[in-house]
Amino acid sequence: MKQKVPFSNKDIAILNHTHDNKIINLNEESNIQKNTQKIVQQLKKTRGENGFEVKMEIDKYNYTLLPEITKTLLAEDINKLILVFNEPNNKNSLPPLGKIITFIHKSIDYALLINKFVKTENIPYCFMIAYKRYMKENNENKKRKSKTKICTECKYNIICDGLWNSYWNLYGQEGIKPITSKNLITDNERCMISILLKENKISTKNMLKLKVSNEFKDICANCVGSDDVIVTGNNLIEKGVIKKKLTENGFTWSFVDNYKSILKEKGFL
Amino acid sequence: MNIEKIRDDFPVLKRRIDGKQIIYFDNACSSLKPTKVIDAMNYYYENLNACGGFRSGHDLSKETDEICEKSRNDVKKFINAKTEKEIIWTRNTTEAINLVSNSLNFKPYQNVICTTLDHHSSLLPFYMLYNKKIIKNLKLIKIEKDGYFDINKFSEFMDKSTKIVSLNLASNVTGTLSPAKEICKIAHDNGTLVLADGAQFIPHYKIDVQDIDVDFLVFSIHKICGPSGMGVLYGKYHLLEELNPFIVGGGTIRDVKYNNGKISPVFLPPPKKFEAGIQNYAGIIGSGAALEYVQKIGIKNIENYERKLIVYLLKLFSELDGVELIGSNNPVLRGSLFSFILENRNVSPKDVADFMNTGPEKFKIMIRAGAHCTNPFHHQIGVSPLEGYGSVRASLYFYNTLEEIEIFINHLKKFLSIINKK
Repeated sequence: MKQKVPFSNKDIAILNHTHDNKIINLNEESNIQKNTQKIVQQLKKTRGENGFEVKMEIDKYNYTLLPEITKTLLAEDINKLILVFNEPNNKNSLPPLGKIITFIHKSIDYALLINKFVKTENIPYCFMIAYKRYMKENNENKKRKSKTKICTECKYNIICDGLWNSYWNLYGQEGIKPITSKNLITDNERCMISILLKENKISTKNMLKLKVSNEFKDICANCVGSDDVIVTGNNLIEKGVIKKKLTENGFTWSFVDNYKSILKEKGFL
Repeated sequence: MNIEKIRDDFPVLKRRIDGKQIIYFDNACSSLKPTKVIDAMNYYYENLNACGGFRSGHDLSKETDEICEKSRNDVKKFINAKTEKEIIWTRNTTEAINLVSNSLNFKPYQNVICTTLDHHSSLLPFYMLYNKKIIKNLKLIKIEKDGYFDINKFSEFMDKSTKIVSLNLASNVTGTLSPAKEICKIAHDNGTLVLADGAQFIPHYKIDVQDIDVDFLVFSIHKICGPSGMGVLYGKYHLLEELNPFIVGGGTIRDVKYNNGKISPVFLPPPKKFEAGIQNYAGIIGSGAALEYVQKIGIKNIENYERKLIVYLLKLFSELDGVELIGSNNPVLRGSLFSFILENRNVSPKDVADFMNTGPEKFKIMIRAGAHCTNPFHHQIGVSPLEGYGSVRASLYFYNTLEEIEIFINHLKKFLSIINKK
């Protein structure tokens, strides 16, 4: 690993796991972890108490290790981590987003678990269905991006910048699924799913208590009142993800049997 | 009152959702709109479209102004204000209360009186004054679960430093009706102003602002069959003259002078100085149509009919186990909305509302559950919204029927039989 632009501005450090094996052998997980930690510690010494943000460029060497690297970086108490999907030059430099995205989602999930802040850059809405809140667009890149024909079917077409021109040339529409209300998982639905992943078969009352607990306060921020929870639950029932049953404890909400495959299909797991 | 004929005026009641009939018991939140109101609003969009506020002199603008001023006059007549100049259009009750709280000239030693049963919209504008140290104290009168309104407490809380009493004419949770005339008398004897929140009162009862001698009255039009986004502030004219405008801009000034590099605005008299910017003309026209519609049915007829409904509802409810009424069981002391809590504290009241909406085979019964923007009261009576609890509310209006009440109670019985299974 090298420190490509150590202090690009006051607060941001950009880390890049280079493919140049002559500099550092990155093919071993332990090296990436170790070197990431080492550089961040160096930066911390330089920046002192002010802290700094880390922009992490995703490449073919580090993408499978993103959750682990995220853990390492966040353990170092940095202010903010941004996972950047930069322009691919050729198929050797970066795999298609479909292969990478699971690791990005896992990284965000981990950050949320420990109440940390992770954003992504240059990843379009269709890969971030349940993670829209963690997207960051960079206006400087707009000119080098475009959209494809099926993007017009997507409900985020107007606000989405699309993908790198070079990406379309390399991979075409592979893995691109326009977001429609049918396959959409909203932020509130994501919140309810997260609660059910923690406690399947939960009463409405306990769900309402949990949503305002410290554990879920970040992902439940969109709820104006607890009616959102009921509406969200009923939407998830319509989408075939969960079910509810009236019991002595009121309605009890739980996943359907094949929920894992449904959530995976919708980009949640 | 011919209820069948009245129901025919409301297009939503003809709607079927998933083949199910709508039973709408969420009128305290918002009422349904008759065709007459929808047509009146459409008239603006189909035939006028122009700016009002006497900005332009052409025919479209002139007609817009004429109809809008007629609506203002309709409000004046509806509440028996002295002049239409005492009627200010706002977006809703909340904005009207904020207008008063932000425009009155408070002294740092003064206090304001509210109750624990007040809606957040009545409470928070005055809390903000307290928080910013604009007033010395926000005094809260504790209202018990039965909703009983103790007039003596108001007298005890009032002192010479009380600038204003925020009075809820009808509670949106307990349905408690306040003795407004008596409160106004006590307050005025003390040199204190009274702001009456009429949001839950005006749609159901006759009000005469001159008779009760209230200083300010606020209410929302959307709860009286009118369009959403429309509210009213009534104020005695001399008080409105003293108030500073809250939102300023176009339409509020006679002139903005410019001398020696400085500007000095000259504001118009009320109501114009409070109505900044382009207004919701379609909404204003719809408001007039709504009041006309309700007047035609007769507000006394509405009150009498709704009393029959609530008496029947209270009777059927009293036969149920596992539920506790909030507010008085005396229909004379309460309005036509009705709230209760579940004795089984493992169950969220949200489940009742969800069951009513999704459970019945032939009906979608639309009620509301939660804290109804009265969190302090719900905390006080031990059903904290943070614990996933609260109350269930069914609120009636003149297009509801005895049969709908029976259907509601029958489904409530079914729900209770499952959650109270031993």
